[in-house]
Amino acid sequence: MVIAGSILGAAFADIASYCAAAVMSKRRGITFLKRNMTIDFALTFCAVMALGLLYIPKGVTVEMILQYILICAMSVFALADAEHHFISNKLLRALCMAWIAIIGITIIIMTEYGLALMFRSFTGAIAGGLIFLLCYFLSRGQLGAGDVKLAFVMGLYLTGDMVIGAVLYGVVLCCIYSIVQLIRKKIGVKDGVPLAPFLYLGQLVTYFIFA
Amino acid sequence: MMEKHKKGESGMMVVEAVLSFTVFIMAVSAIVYLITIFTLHNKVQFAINSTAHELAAYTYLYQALGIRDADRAVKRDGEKYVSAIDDTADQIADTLNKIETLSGDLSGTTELSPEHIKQTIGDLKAAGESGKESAKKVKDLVSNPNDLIVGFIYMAFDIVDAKVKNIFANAAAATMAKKYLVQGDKDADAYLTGMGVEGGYAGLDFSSSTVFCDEGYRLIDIVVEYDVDLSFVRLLIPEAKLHIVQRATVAGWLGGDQGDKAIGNYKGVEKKW
Repeated sequence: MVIAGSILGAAFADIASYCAAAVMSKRRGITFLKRNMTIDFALTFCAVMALGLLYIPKGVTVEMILQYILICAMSVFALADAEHHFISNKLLRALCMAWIAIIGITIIIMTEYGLALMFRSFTGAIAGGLIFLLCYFLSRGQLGAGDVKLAFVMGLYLTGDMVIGAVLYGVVLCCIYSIVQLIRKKIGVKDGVPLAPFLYLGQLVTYFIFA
Repeated sequence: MMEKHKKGESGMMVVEAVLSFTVFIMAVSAIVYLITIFTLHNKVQFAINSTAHELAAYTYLYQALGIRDADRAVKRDGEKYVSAIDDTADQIADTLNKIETLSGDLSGTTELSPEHIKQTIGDLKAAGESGKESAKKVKDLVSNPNDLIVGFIYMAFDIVDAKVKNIFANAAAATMAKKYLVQGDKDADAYLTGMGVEGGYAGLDFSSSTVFCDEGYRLIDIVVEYDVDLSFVRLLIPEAKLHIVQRATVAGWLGGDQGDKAIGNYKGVEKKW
């Protein structure tokens, strides 16, 4: 039952991510490399399946649903950022709407739990958003505005419990990647690196640590 | 060719910014965790301080009922007067029941009787003899305020083994500290789990606590040990745990500041907070 649920969830996550990527591709007139898409969706499939095996036996919660949605969305953000260096505002808005809907329903059904979850989400959003916003102003535009908004939305979904860990691991992985690329002389210090794929990896690492 | 995107959609970060941003994020994470641990430490300290003071207040009965004097007489004259202490059980029962009736503070608790007191004391004696396995039994026992008071009076007797005092202190502290760790709608267990304490409320180890184990039989010493799980750095430091030990020591309400009996005046006993 758990294995079947995990595989089904992973397959659905891949389908949802693929659909979102296809819509984005059509609207913006961009294409994604098949190799990148394969890597991205394979990673999403494996991660969702492994997390399903770890989390489903503990019982499905609203937080799990939120995390599942974020994994699907982050998979698309990572793909778009890695290839085309942008974070879609429309997808961010859609995520905000989905969060409002889920939290709203939760508050109606389980008021106390829903309100507690909402405050925890706000804590995460403020923590994630503020760290990136501060860095955005201090670095005078060296950090993309899309990343600031993404960190805010990640905070909403990950709540205050996990957002710091996700951001920390994401940035550390990005730093390691940058140093390796600098040593290999593939990039210079003034070049840019996409942050969303690393935030995605940081998010997955945090999930596994908490599991 | 660089593609054009809408304003505010950039997902890039300059490499030099990444390097400094990593340090910045690490500093922020460290500050956040320090604040969390400081908050947790303060809350637990408040809980054990309040528990120690509450226990100290219960000892007033030991003094006010004259049992302390009887206790001293036993110590001075020997075991043959132990029966005199047992006789005071009737007086204790009578007095506590009157207090209960007058104040209503102990409403909903078991009515005291000499038999009940003897039973409580018997349970405590058995706990001392059978060792740590009985700690849970004693914990259940002291969850009733009346039993707690009776147990406390018994604890104060010199003849009681230090192991029993230790078990009693452990159980009393674990039972009473819980209500001071409630945070909003979260109970103690949920609050501590949320703050990263391993095992939640059950993860708090009060086993080093003692009552009246000092030279002057006056001090209530609550010691709590727990581990804080630094979960989000587990990838970098696999066994990331922070072991915290906190202590609150107060004197029982025993005769006030009577010269050499005042707290801190005993040999080898320092005032600790």
